[in-house]
Amino acid sequence: MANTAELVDETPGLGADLDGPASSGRAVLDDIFEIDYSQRLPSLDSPQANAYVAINTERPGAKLFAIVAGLDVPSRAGVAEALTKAEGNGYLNVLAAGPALAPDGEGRRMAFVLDRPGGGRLRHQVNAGAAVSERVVTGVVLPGLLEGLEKLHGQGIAHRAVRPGNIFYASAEHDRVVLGECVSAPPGFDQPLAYEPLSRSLAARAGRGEGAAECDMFALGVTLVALLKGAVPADDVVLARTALRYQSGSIAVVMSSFDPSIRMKELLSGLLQDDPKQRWGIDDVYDWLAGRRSRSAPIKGLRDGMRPFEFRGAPYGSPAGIAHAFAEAPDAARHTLRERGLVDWLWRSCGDKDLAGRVKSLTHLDAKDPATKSSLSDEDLALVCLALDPNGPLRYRGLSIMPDGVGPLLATAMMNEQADDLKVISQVIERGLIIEAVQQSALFSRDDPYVSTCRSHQAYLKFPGRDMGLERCVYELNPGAPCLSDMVRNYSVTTLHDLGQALNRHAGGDEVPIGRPRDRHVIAFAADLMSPGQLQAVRLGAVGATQGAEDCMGDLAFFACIQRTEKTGAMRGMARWIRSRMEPALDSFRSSTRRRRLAVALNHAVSSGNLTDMLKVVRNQVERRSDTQEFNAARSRFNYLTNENTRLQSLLGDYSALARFKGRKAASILALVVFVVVSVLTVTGGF
Amino acid sequence: MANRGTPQERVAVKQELALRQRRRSRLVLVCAVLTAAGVGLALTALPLFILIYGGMLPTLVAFLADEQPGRYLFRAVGFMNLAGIIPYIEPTLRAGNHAMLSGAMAQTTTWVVIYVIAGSGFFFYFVMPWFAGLILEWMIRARMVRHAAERATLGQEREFDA
Repeated sequence: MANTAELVDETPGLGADLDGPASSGRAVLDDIFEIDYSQRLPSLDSPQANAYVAINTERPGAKLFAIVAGLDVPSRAGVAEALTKAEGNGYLNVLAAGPALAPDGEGRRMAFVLDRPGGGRLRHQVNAGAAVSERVVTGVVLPGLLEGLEKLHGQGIAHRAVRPGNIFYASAEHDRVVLGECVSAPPGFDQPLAYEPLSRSLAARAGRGEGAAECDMFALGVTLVALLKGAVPADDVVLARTALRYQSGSIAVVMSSFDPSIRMKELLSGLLQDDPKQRWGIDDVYDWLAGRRSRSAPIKGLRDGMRPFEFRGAPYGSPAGIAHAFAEAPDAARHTLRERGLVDWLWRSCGDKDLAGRVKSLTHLDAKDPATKSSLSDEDLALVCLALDPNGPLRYRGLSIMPDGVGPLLATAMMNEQADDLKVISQVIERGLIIEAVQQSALFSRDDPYVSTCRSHQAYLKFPGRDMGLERCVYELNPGAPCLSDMVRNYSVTTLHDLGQALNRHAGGDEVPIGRPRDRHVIAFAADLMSPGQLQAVRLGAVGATQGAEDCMGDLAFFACIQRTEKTGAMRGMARWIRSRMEPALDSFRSSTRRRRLAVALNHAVSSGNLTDMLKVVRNQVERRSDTQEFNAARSRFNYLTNENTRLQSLLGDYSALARFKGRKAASILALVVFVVVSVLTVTGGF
Repeated sequence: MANRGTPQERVAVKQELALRQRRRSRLVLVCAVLTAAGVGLALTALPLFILIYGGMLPTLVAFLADEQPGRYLFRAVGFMNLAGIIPYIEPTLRAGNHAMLSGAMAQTTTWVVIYVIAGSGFFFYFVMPWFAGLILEWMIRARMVRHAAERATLGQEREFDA
């Protein structure tokens, strides 16, 4: 993965500047790719990213372009990284990916360098609204798309952006097509509703989930319809026909008033199955192309009931459709669920006793306490909807999320500071609804590792102060996502090295920034990237210090670790910033003389920009031990002097008895001395 | 018999009575020894007896008057008294006759000198406590000043609460 070298600091050899001169109009990616911002390529724009000419400095003749994403939605950095390592036909190869200097020179943006298609966008070539012949579809479009999808699916990647507007002619001869990029936005984010499988189309745009090959096959089917028919229903029409989609299948909505050939109808029937297990795969389509007989299943919706269930005056034939209707009108749903009508319908009309039992249990219909019976929380309603539509999105408080779409949705909500959505997502994770959804869905296996991931996220949210809660979740759920801290958001930081550099730059102004250099996003971002050993070292950094000192020493240990392991070089800005917050650490030493001495040493380390040296100064265990020992000795001495002072004070108040005793004793001694002297003098004849 | 105080008080009273008894016995013993020695000395060397028994009268007074522990009055007066007599006795003892001593005894200044020197023992005994008080106060104050300075230094260095 590209770790773009536009970062520079006092350390030599780090490359260009983080901000960079806007006038240069160029950005460098992976050292060899240059993005020329003066040459826009609007025809290659993606909905969430603008396209520019890109140049391979080692192979100037190669035709490339770059798309530069914005800061509103997360890109699929993990997918992009995987694609840079594999080259294939049928899709636009991703040659480099990573943060690059922004077009306006202010910060950095995620950029992706791709092979430039030779023939332009398919939609433009055929004109909107004009139909493409079946011959072109089967002879040109389908083989190219199948080739691309086969390669991607072989790597375990779902494209999730298959639509006519994202298909390009590979050459000027228009004899082959390739899939467009799929990395600048979350999976399915830019897909019109018709192109998404029924369950995922009902989820929030960013929460449609990674999905799997089946999702691409469905989108392929809709793409073929769009090409053959010239159009597919718009989003509002599709949404209005959701009930019909549930009842008669997506094909009834997508192919309304469209009558292809019998052979083509067979293909589209296979691709537009709402049941992923019944949907055709790539092999089935190849078989169909080769004229072999493919497996086929009758087109049907998700209708299960013998007779429809009425909700708000409308008939619903399937539990999944009812779940959707319930999510649309939660208050009416609560009212309906207070009665036994749905349970009876599931029991008698659908014959699904297990589901009826589950719904009965979730709606507390057997509860003896009237209060319990009448109360149905949002969580209960979400679980009822989940029971009715286990493969559908999780519907909770107006937000619909596919279980595997939590990451991009969370990142999008954070990027756009959507507090309400963040609150709902937090509750969804913390209350285990995602785990419940994964375990009930047939789209996931029972022992899917995603469940254990969700459990760890649940734990993060239980201790948000220690584990950084939602922030930690966002980085674990979005591999390669840039750090969303306000301090570095504009730099699209994706590595610890860049994080150190970006923060150093942030602190490099005339005034030292206010606040901690390590906010929740920075900690969570680093926790996701640091090795266990690094994390341990960072935690140990504050051992032996007091609470206030622990924070600043923790910050220092954290960034010293980054500076050391990531070889970021001198970080004078960071050093100055951290130094401005080091007073508690210095104050944790009891001796003012020692504090002054350490402050001088600290300032010296600051001037060199060496955080490790700073850490050595404040974490010097010999100094701390000496300080403690000296403090204890000094306190004993101080207490002794205090007591002695009290004693002398009282003695000063009444010393006559002592003076009398001492004086009389002195008198007797003096007399003895006189006697001895006189005796000696007398005996020796001195007198 | 009526109960007089607590057992401790009764023990204290008994100890006090025993102490008085010992003092009385000692006084009797001292008087007996002094009488015997005085008779012996008067029979063998009368001038010496007069000088010693006459000159040491202040000591006798101090001995009788001083009941304080340590008997510093007796010691001070006694040593000074001896210091006053020794210069008169020593030549007699060295020469072996009492002629010089008799001459000295006849002079008033001899007795004045002996009693003044003995009196200085009283003087020391009564003046030295005052003098010792002055020194003691000076020493206490000096020590307090030293301690205060050390406390201030420690407090400033380690930020102790004063």
